[in-house]
Amino acid sequence: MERYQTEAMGHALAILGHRQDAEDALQEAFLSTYGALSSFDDNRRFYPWFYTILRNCCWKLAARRGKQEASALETVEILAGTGGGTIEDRLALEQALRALSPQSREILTLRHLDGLSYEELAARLELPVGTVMSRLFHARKGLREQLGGKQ
Amino acid sequence: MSCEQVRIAAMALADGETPPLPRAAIEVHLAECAECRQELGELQALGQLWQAQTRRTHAVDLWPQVERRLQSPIGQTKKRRLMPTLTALLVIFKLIEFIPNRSLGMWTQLVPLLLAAAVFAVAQENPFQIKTELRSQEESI
Repeated sequence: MERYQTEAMGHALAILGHRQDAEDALQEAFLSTYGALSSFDDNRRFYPWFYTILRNCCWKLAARRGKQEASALETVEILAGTGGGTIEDRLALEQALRALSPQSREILTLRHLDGLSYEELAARLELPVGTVMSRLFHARKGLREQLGGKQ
Repeated sequence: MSCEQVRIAAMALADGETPPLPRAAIEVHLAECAECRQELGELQALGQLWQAQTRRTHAVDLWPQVERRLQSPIGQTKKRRLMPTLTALLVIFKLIEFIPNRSLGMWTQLVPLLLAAAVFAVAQENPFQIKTELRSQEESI
């Protein structure tokens, strides 16, 4: 569990956007995982299986959380520069990402930060590949609009 | 074949994935449609922004909280609520035995037995060794 918590925290943050929410969702996910361990197939990779539980916890928390309450929580950055771009670009991308829906943030970060293929995205998000293509396209369009509006 | 279908397919192609439309059909459409070319150019430019980014790591240690919650599971609270209820039901069913001419038959004898078994199980500190099982599962991860 300790091995996965930093990675999982990054994923929960990409969906929820707030540190406290992400920690709460992650705790719930770990507890649910213990309860479901007997159903885990040892031939599968652990993290993708755990990710399904984690994102369910994230969506439940996001549904419970009211907008007013969420706005009072600590916002933390999702992105870190690799040294190849400017700080302005990173901040603009970060701000544009935050303006998108959690679903769009999730698929964009999984694709661009984790480098998941369409097949892997489909497995991770439990969607057909065609739906992944469409969602990714619309998420990118949304991101471009956000960036366009700020430039 | 709509512009959106072509744009989705062209983005898949640009991502190095198998597009849902034949490559030739995508290329023919793009050669004729300036709007699609422009939108795809803009979307592909976003890819360069992403290339300079990575996921920020946030140090976190949730294990102490998770461990605490595992050691004091919700079952403890449930147990506190369940015990008085089961005990009250047990007393009620035993009292029923004193009612003359009762017509509930074997249930008045069977239900108190089941209730007594439930009270015994709930009263145990850890009747099914749940924590031990969780520990061994944890080690296997």
